[in-house]
Amino acid sequence: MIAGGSWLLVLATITSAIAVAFGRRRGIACLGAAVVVAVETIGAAVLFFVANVTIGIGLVLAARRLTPVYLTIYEVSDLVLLIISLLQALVFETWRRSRTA
Amino acid sequence: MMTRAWVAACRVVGALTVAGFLVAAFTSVPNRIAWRLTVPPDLGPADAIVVLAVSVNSDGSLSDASLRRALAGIALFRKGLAQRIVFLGMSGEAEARARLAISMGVRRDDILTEGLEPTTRAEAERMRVVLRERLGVRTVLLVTDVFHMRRARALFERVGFVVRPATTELSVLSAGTPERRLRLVRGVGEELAARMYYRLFHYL
Repeated sequence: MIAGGSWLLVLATITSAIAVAFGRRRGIACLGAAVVVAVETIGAAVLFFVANVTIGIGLVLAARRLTPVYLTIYEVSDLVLLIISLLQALVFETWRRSRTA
Repeated sequence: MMTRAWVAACRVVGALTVAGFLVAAFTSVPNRIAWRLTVPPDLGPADAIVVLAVSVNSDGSLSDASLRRALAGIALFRKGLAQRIVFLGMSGEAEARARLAISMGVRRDDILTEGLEPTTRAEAERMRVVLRERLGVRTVLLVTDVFHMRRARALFERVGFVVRPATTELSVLSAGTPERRLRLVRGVGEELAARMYYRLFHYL
């Protein structure tokens, strides 16, 4: 079931272990909380992505009906939209946490 | 209240995304799902070969996927599986493919080009008029990629053709690195979304 490329995970585990060893003095207890924050930010990025794609498809379909220009729906499947969504999530989550802190 | 709901949603979606990423990148699950969605090739004699459109680059040259489909169609024609080959594609794609075919020994008289159809549904409808009604074509060898074939075949069958799938890019199904498996997931995802869209508007 496990396919090729798993050594990349080993690589990430090694560098993570080194980073944790260096940052140990700060206390390892808050590491779990940091993982939760990371997971929440990833979730926010996915929600932004879904919203971007949904609105994008709506705009493409509206443009097809209201103008003579033909736009393909594949326009909104550009990988860059995923990166933009991640940036949106980072900014939004940082802002939200700064307000609640 | 709103913030709590947002945080809970982010947490659940985030956890599912991380788990999904690990499964997609580091296991063979994407390959298995992709194989299940695949239409196996059925190469044999037909009245015409129809090469569906992809895209052209901004300089007018054929994109990689377009070139692969065109070459697959030309190879089938040169094997003598049909006496006519149709190239589809907007923005000069069909003509560029025709020029390629001629440079590889296909006679101009055996080539048809159609370049005004923006969707697979429009391509099937145009082929119904041009091939079925005007030329009496019944069986077509349909050339398109592995993800697109199931939807394309259904559309061509819906307008009355007997379709023999000539599936291209089968090699992507055996993607063996995390990056290639993620591309596979993207291809499957795009095609599943396209099928949902076609079903929603009753095109399938």
